[in-house]
Amino acid sequence: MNERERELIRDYLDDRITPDVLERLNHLLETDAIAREEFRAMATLEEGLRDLAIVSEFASPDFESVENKQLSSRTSKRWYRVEHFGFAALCVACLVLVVLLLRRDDRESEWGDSIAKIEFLSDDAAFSAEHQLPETEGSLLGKGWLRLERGHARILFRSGATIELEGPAALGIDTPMRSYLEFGMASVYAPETARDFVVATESMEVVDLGTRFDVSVDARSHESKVSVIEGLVDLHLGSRGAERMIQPLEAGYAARVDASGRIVEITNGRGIDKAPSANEAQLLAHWTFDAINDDSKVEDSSDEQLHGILRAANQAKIVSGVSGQALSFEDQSVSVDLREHVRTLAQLDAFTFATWVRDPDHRLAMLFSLSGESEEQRVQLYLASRFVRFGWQDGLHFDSVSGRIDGWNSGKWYHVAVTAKEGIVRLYRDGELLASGSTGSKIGTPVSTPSTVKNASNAYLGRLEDGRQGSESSHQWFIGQLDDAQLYFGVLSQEAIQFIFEHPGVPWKPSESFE
Amino acid sequence: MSNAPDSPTGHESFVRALARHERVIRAYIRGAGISRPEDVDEIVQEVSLIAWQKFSQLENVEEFPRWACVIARYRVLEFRRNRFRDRLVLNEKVFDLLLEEALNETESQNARLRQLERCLDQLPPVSQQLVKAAYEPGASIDELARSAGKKANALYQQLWRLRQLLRKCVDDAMGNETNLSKPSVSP
Repeated sequence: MNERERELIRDYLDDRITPDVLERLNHLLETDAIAREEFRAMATLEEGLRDLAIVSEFASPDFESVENKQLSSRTSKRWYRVEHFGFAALCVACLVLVVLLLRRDDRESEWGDSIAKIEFLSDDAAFSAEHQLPETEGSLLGKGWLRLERGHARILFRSGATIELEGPAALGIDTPMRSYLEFGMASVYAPETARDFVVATESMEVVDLGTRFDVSVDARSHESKVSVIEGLVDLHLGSRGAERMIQPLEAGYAARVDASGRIVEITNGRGIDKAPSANEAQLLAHWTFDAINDDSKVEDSSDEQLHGILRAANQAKIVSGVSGQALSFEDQSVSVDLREHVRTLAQLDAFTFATWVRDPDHRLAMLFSLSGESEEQRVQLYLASRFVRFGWQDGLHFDSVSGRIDGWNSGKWYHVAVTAKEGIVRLYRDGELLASGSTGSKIGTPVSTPSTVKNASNAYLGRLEDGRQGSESSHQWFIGQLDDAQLYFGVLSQEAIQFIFEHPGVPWKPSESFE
Repeated sequence: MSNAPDSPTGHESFVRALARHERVIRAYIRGAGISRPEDVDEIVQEVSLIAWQKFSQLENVEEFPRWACVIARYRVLEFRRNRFRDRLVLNEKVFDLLLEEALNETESQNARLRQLERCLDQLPPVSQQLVKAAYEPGASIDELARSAGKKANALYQQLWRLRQLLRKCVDDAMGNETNLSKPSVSP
């Protein structure tokens, strides 16, 4: 590292860099590990000095230990960061308080004991026979049920929150800060005065944290959907009386929650009703296990001809499958080697893998994997005694999305599937969606797909080549039976997954109809 | 020890861990290529929130700094993706490399930060004051130069020399850590 290169780093960290110089710095850091080390050392110095500059202003010599000194100083630092705003905020708060107090009497007299009022009714709005509250625009509403048979209604709560209701819907008006949606669709706007406004459903409470959101409840299944348009909400999940779990949900995200308060799906950006279109996917491989030749070739019956090679220390055992024959993975040595096609497989940025499985080993059963030269680069579909899991690693830490199941009955064939696209993974068993997610449950890393695996060199059915930093080869395996493994480029919809579950041995085609 | 966020022990443990290791997390974020301190602050806030939500999943609180840095890694990449159009920032490949390599250095960065404090104490009082003044929140070189009756560029160069001295002091100390020799600073 020469002085000029150090100055490049300095200029970047001091936010004084120009576009052409930035290009030079990019090149330097891309190609020179010592320059990167220097960059980090200088950045650490910068942050350290910033920290010390603040700490020194507040550090007290009376503290007994260095740690206490630091803790206290950092606490002070946070106060310091807010105190600049403190005085101004206090003045504003006083002004607001005065205005609110002056207006309060007017408001109180306007609302009386009422909780809400009907601010707007569409021309086609009609209430059902059970509706017992006033029915005209401008009517004040007390506690009770508003049952809209059709049309639209806008309800303004005394807190300032507004609910646009689309019939048919039943909305319980409880307090100025709380409502209950029995069924139907509601669009909620809660201004600052109505922060913490609650829309409860049978399976959860949606607590506003300054936002706009839509919530709907299916009258028959009692499944709820929440879609956050602006701001943030907390979902307090679980039925009344049961232990609750809190799930924050921010703008752009949507969640589907079943009647028991379990999150079925969280999606990002595209909205919950925009499920993947089945037309996107095309069959890439279909390993039926019906034709395993003497030369150990595991035939792919699709047009792509991604034949695998059966690896086994002893003679592989073929058993009767859910459709034709199945391959029994009797010990750790059995796998289907797909390394010959790793370049094709590593291009999958959206994919579906589905297979039938029987008697999987309860500890850990590796169904499909694609990995690099070490365990730090991999994606894998695997089973545990109570879970179907899709896992990935892009660097030092492994993460996964898991779908909980009730176990694996001995001798029974199960259909399992995973889809992944645009950062969302979905897991299915027997055609039912088990779980979905855009981040892992362990440390919250974003979902990986085969295309994100760097230097992919291994691909298997029934095995993960887990190179342990490349220094010592080891692997994870599958013991159990596999049949009818299908791989698609693109994501199959739930209906398509349901189809291949109901039609063992038949791959899904875009023209397929679902009678 | 319970790390459940809602338990008093969990809360106390989280606050203590965050206060103790916040500067390591900041250094990690800055060292990943986020140049502006206010951007570092923004990311640290997000990381703190996520770390709090996931704190119950952390099995050993001693692993907090590295664990929090893993969380920070993805927030940094997200921040870069969202802001690269309106900022002069390093390319994504460089970010990846810096983030990946820095994860193995959380321990040593912590040691560097501790050493920096000792090195700063060894500077002459006037130099210490200048450094601290330059790094205070909201400080600007132009204003400091005006109040010191100097040209901004001259002051910037003076600060750069002090930074290099501190850097050398820290490097020397880290290199000599095994024999516990005390580093010295003489501008």
